[in-house]
Amino acid sequence: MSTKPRIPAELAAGFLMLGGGDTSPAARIAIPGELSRLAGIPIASNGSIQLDPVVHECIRLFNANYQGCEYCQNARQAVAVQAGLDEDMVSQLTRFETSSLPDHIKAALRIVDRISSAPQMLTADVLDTARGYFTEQEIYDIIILSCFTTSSKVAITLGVDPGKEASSRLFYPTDEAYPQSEDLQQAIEQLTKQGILVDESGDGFDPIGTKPGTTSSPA
Amino acid sequence: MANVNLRAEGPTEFDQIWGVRANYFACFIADHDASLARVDPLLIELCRLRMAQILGCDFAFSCRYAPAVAAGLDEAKIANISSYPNSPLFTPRERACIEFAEQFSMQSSSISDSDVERLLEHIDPETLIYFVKALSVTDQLLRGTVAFGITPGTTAPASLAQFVSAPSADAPLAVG
Repeated sequence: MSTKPRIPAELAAGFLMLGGGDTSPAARIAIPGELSRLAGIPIASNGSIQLDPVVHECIRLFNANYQGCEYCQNARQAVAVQAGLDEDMVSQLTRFETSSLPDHIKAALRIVDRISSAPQMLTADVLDTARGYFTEQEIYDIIILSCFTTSSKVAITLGVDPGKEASSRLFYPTDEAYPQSEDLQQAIEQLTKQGILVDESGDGFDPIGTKPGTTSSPA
Repeated sequence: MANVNLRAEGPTEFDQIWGVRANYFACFIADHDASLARVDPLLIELCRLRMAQILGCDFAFSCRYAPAVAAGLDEAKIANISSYPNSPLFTPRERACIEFAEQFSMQSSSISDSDVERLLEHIDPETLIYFVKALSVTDQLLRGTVAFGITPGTTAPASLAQFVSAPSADAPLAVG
């Protein structure tokens, strides 16, 4: 694992974890914006993964720890924080089996853990246990998200992980990191109607680690 | 038997299962295909199949990357892929890349600076960037396919446009 570039600076120029815009070789291999909308943002937009935002964020952060991605480990999705994610939960993700995390999150993380380490070990009993908490579509989406959140292996391997300095904050769905689209805009409007803060302009909560002012779930 | 019960329309089990989130898969596979197109097709196909062995993806062996077939993919190499470190069928460059692909697949965070430096004796830095990206999308597709429990088929999935059926033991290579 390295945050020190293993490729020449001119080849790494313009690299971003989500989307690019530059034409350097590293920028060219960034995760496509539309793929980020469909899988990376814990909100229900047209055609996207549809999981409870806390479950979504726990999966993302579990894999961030597993892969060793500093950027991913230190970012927090504002929608998930407002839905109940807190730092006590985050601190328990790595040892989730012996944690006090809710059973449905443990069930989801068992799937993620198997897929990240040895997918052939994803057994029927692991999936059947998860079916006690999730719909078949949600099981499907947990599998997709488990795969998608391994994307950071590229940045880690090349030593271009932007690090915690670039990500230690709340990411709102209106963040410029996410390419705006009609589908995303509609989902954002829906969140706003539910009283969820979608940008930093709202009053209420902010710093990572504080309890949110609302527990409404957009899911 | 597959691990999930949802199915979309499609000619193969692979198409039916990955097609449940059609928009996601279309975006993913576009990035996947573009990423593989940036690297040596023969090299990435050998890496894909070695990674499939490690991850337990039998499905992956039922098809071949068509650009690799067109470039002269040697089935003898595939038959000997697990003995690549010592087999004379493999070039030093192929060995270095397959070994790196193994590491990437098993635990990429354990890849050290010296591992990268060793690979850079065989490929240039720009190629390394494209190679690592190609490994990542390959890794994701293999992991998902294993997790879904997709079984090998007799025809290549329609949604894998860049892949053709693998040759059976007594049939010639199918070239797309």
